[in-house]
Amino acid sequence: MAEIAIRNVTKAFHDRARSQDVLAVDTVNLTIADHDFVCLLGPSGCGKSTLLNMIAGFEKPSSGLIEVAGTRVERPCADRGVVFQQPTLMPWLDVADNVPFHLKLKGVGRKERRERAQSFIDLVGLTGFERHFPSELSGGMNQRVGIARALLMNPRVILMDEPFAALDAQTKMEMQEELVRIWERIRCTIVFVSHSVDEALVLGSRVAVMTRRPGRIRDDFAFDLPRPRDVTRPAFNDAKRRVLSLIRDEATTSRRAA
Amino acid sequence: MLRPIPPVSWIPLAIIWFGIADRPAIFLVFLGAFFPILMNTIHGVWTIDRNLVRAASMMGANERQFLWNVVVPAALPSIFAGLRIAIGSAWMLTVRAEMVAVKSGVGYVLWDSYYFLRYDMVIPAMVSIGLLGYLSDWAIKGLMGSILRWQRTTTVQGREG
Repeated sequence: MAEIAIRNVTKAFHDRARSQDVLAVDTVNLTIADHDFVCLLGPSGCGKSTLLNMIAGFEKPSSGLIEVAGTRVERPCADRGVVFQQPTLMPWLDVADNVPFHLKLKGVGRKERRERAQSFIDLVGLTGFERHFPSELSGGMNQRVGIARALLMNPRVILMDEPFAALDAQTKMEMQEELVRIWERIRCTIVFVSHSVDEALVLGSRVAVMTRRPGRIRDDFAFDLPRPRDVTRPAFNDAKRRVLSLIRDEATTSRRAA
Repeated sequence: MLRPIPPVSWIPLAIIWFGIADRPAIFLVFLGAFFPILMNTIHGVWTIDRNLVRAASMMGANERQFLWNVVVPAALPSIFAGLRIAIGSAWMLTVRAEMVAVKSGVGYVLWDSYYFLRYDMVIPAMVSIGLLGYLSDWAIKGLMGSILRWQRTTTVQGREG
């Protein structure tokens, strides 16, 4: 069953200062199956975040339709957890209150909130840090809190917008491994936006390469290298070469067009 | 429009409107405290991280929940900064109002002893004013420290405590 369906989605922004329309996303079609781990790969400004924001409901498509689990996306909703580039935790709440924040909004009592959050705090490896405030944790740990928060909201669909971009290389690697472990364990559907070819290939069960603005899906392929993926394996490098040449081709054509 | 007029210059009008009693003092204290709190609160609300707004809307916050669970806690540090300025200015105006418009209080005692050239009374009155001002600021600071516990590790202010 298709978990997320994106049909003919186009997004144009109106640039008021120059009174012209800018096309950010151009007729994107993408069907994401249950338990897919889709990486949207593309250069910055290609509209991949815009596409993710539309799935999340932060922005509305200018035309086209997005459905999550058969329901049309109209506005942000607690059934699609988003992990942002910055952790965006409530700085005045400790970990055990940040993770179940949406339950507080639903009026769930404090005790039950903490109980339900605990298993996800354990899952992301933050056991023992329940009483810490975000300012007392490292960037990687804060992102873990963000992931736990998204998982608790809906363990089925997680949207991630370059969540590891601000982390150092080593922490990033650990977090990627951790995310794959979590994904394998709870079998959720993940849409992961990234500008890094390596990251997309390490994580994704499917990689959608986007073009420069206006964003279109240039290529979309399943990638089923066994996990954990070794970035030095020939099979990995073959795939990387293919993606890089795709990106390079595209860069040359867009330069020629310009 | 009213903000650039220093609260002290309202004293004559306050006496005309409210007479010589506690009420002109209360009016002045209100004037002196209102604007610092208002301006700081506005500033605090405008500088809320936009990503927090997104995060809250993703988690399904309605407007009311958004106000109480995001806007108020996020603006609290600024509101407290306003409160601290306000309590200082309120105390200043209390003393000033007591000198002119009220027939009691430390300010009245201070002014009265000055009229009678009782300098032995002037100094203790000044010390009392200072002490009370210090205590009120200390109380606000203590309250702030316990409510804004989450800020302690990121700010310079936290290092003292």
